[in-house]
Amino acid sequence: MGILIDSNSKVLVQGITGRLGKKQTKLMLEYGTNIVAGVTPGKGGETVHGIPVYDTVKESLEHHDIDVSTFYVPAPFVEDAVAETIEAGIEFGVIISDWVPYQDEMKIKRSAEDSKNFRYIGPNTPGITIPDDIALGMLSSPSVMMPGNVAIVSRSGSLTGEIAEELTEIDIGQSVVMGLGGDPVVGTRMVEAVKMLEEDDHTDVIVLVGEIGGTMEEEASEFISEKGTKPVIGFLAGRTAPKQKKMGHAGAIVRSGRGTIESKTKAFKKAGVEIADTIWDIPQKVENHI
Amino acid sequence: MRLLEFEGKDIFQEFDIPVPESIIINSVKDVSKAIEKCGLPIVLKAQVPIGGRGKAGGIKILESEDEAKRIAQELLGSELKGHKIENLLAEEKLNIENEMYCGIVGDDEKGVPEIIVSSRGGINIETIAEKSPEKIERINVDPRFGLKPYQARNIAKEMDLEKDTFKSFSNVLFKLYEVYESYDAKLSEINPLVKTKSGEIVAADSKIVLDDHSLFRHPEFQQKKSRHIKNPLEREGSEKGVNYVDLDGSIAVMANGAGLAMALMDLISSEGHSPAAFLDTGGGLNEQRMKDSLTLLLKKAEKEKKVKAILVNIRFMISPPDAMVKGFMDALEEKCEIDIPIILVVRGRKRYVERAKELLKDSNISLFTDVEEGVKAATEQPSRS
Repeated sequence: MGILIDSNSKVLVQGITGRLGKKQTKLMLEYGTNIVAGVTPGKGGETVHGIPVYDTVKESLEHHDIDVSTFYVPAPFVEDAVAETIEAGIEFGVIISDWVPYQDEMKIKRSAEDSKNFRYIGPNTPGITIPDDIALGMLSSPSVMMPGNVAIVSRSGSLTGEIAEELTEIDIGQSVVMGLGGDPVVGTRMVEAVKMLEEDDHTDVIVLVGEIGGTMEEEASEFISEKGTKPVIGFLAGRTAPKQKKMGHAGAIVRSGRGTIESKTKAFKKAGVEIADTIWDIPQKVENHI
Repeated sequence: MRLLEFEGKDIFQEFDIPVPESIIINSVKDVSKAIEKCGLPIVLKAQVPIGGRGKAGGIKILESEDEAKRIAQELLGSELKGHKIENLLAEEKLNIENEMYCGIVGDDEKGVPEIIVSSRGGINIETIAEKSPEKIERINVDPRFGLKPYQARNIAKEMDLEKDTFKSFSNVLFKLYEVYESYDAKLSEINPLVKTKSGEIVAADSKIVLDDHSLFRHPEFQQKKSRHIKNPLEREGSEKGVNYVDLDGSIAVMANGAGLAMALMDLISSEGHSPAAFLDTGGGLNEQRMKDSLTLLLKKAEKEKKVKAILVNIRFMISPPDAMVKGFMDALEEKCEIDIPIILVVRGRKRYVERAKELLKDSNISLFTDVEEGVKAATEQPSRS
């Protein structure tokens, strides 16, 4: 079910011996994620929750087949770690790490695009989960999600889980729940996620969670107007945020005319995206299409 | 964080980008020394982190020492658009032949730095960009390799520069990219880049915005990152590493995530109420940060009687609630004189929600597991004043 990953995906955890890496490895394993190896330079030979740790990604691949890597590497080392992963030939990355320097994020994006066969989500994403099959990242609470046919794609980490939980509370399951990452330069933009979901047989309804700043919603809307066939429900956080105030994400800065709530609302409307005024309106709007 | 003009120009000098003769002064008695160094007429420029300083009266050209002293007296210690003027940059007055523009800024969508140049610079650059886009040249460069000297020459060649300006312009642009890269900037800009009557190229202004995420590589600026935030609570938030925005309503809002906090604000507004503050604690639910966060909102309530409730929404993902509860309790104990209802909505991982209920059952915090009920409880509080 879902996109990018499935229950058979073999997972590497980079930064597995750190505080966050250890904790999340445990929770992901509890969820049923097939973690096969971890990497932390200098900690090769150790184990974390029974998972073998290697010094380099290359070394981990000599011992295991790996489909995807999740990154809990501290911000200063993320760019290097991603480059290592790309060169080693792993094809998908989930970059959980936050506070990654802006210019490093640009370098990561260039390296990924040059390589032609590496895709990633994040940085600063809560991750991606196919309910009951696999959780990569922080969306690993079993009670919050259930399998179904609604995809959630969100720019906001905290709202990703909130909206999934609201749907689950009224027995509407999800095909995939993913955060794109709250930073300005991310690996997979909203429009790319929508394209994948259009092709995904397990997804019948798409929920897009946007927010002020950037132009991702506008881009996604263009694709939806031209090629979209599935119902899309959109929510935009920050309609009451004062202009010129930075609300947390570096991406959420309103600049003259671009990325405003007005321009996003207009784009969504034009593309036929049904807009939920508050997060409470989302489940009802989704239910109408089930 | 945005650097002040003189800080940017110090960096320019480090990279051999020509800047006017100058000296930084913070008292009237330094004016004579400045004139000795820069000559007359002299330019006095207020060092505040805003654009449009000239129009706001923060930049003056003075013909005599007496006049310069009088203006220095007037400017120093006064406020320009809400920012106190602590320093003036005293500079030689350039004999301007013409003004050009060069800037480097990231393109988020493509993930590349964009080089933007124009043979017409100055205060009207935005109007030029809008009305005569053909006067503006743009190229993207690969951030892994940076701007090559030949690329700087290629873009300079596209501009209608005079023959003697071509080389010096491309040289300055190349160095400006070095500044951008070396300081991990989000933006570096020279506007205007002046060509003087004697044919020299000089950076008449500087604008450098550093990336807060990369300050660990530039510790000299780490301590200064919050200095220009005017609101004391917002400054305290920035220093403590939580994202606090001061607002004007009656319900102070806090959540562990910016999107969640914004959505909560939107909910309150849709119910006809307005938020008094926005606070995003960031991830992790660590004890100190939770204490600092709640303390900020308690201080806001202490300052403003019209704040009638504090509404907190915490989603448990990977951290248990114990540290959070400890942090909250410490904050409430230290600020026990402030009487304000605290409504806490907890959701997410079930066993952590249950644990939070257990830990808070004897506290004064009202606990909800439904956002709608929590918002209702907050909005229905009577006013305190």
